[in-house]
Amino acid sequence: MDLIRRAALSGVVVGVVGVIVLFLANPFSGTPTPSMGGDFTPVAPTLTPSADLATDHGLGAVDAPVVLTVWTDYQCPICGTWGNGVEPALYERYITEGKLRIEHRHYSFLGEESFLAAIGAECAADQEKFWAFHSYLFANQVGENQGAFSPERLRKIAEVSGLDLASWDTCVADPAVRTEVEADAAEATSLGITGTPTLIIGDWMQSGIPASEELYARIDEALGN
Amino acid sequence: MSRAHRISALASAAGVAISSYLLGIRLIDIPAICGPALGPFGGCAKVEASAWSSIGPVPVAAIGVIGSAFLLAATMIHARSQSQRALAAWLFAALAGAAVELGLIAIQALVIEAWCFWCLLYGCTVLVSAVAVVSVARAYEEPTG
Repeated sequence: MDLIRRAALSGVVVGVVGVIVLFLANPFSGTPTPSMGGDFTPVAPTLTPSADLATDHGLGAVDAPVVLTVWTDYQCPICGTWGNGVEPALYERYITEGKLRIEHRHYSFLGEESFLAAIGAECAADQEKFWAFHSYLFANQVGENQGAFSPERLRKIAEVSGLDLASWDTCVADPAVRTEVEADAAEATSLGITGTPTLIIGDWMQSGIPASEELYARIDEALGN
Repeated sequence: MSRAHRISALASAAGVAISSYLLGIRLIDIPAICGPALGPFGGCAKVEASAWSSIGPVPVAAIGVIGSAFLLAATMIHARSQSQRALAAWLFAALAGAAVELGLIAIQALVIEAWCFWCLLYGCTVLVSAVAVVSVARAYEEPTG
């Protein structure tokens, strides 16, 4: 019986320690790692769209027959998969053909750096460079709230995105821009969105990334094919 | 095979399937059956996008696959051998898993403030296996004859 009792006790102890390790591994619970050094060179995104297709907060012809609205958080790893992998695939398959436009919306909920990144993107939009900045953000994701989107690194991303830094600096300091980003998150909640990425085409809403063939079928259906 | 063994084996097999599915959602682009259609339990994307879905580079779902596979193996080995060592391994894994699952459920409720249907269902499979193994272990303590 000693073996059984020891096993039971060890199991409970290991389980409790496991939970503690999980807590300690969470970046929210510890001190955020400061900026990852001053020699940061942003990684270039996989997609550099044609300038005439990257307008306002969208990618694709403004009169495209199908509009796919995507709510993301710039720190969400699955959104990174979306931005770095799925968006380029959709660009090649539908957007360059004039069939699809992707409209981006912010649902920032993973912490302060999500808000900083979204504010930076809004200020890039003011200079008609939203999509460049947006793509650079996804290409430079590193963990959550660990300094990947610190103000210093975001400024470098703004620089390589071709933004006028003086105007961008003024914009990101404007509390009204943060209010806009917070309003976006509130709107997402009111729509029943509980996670990112969330995709919407007409009445269809999907949380997470569907299989490529399923997504293509959904777009083709909306196109009437 | 006793009723407790059958229940634990079924629950653990379901646990392997569910955690494999959750791992597939994370690692490859298989569709996530979740979202608003599941009402208050449709927060899978929020849970999956949270920092609690992995320990360092290791997805929690991967630990779930290994844990449930171990529970299934321990259940089957004990059902056949009735050995104390197999029972000890089963008891250890089930109670450790149950403690972790209770912690994860608390995190969903109190920190993430979103419920993931599949994560909760997986947690239930581990808790069921823990109840089953405790019932088997208690039978060892009861005097026979």
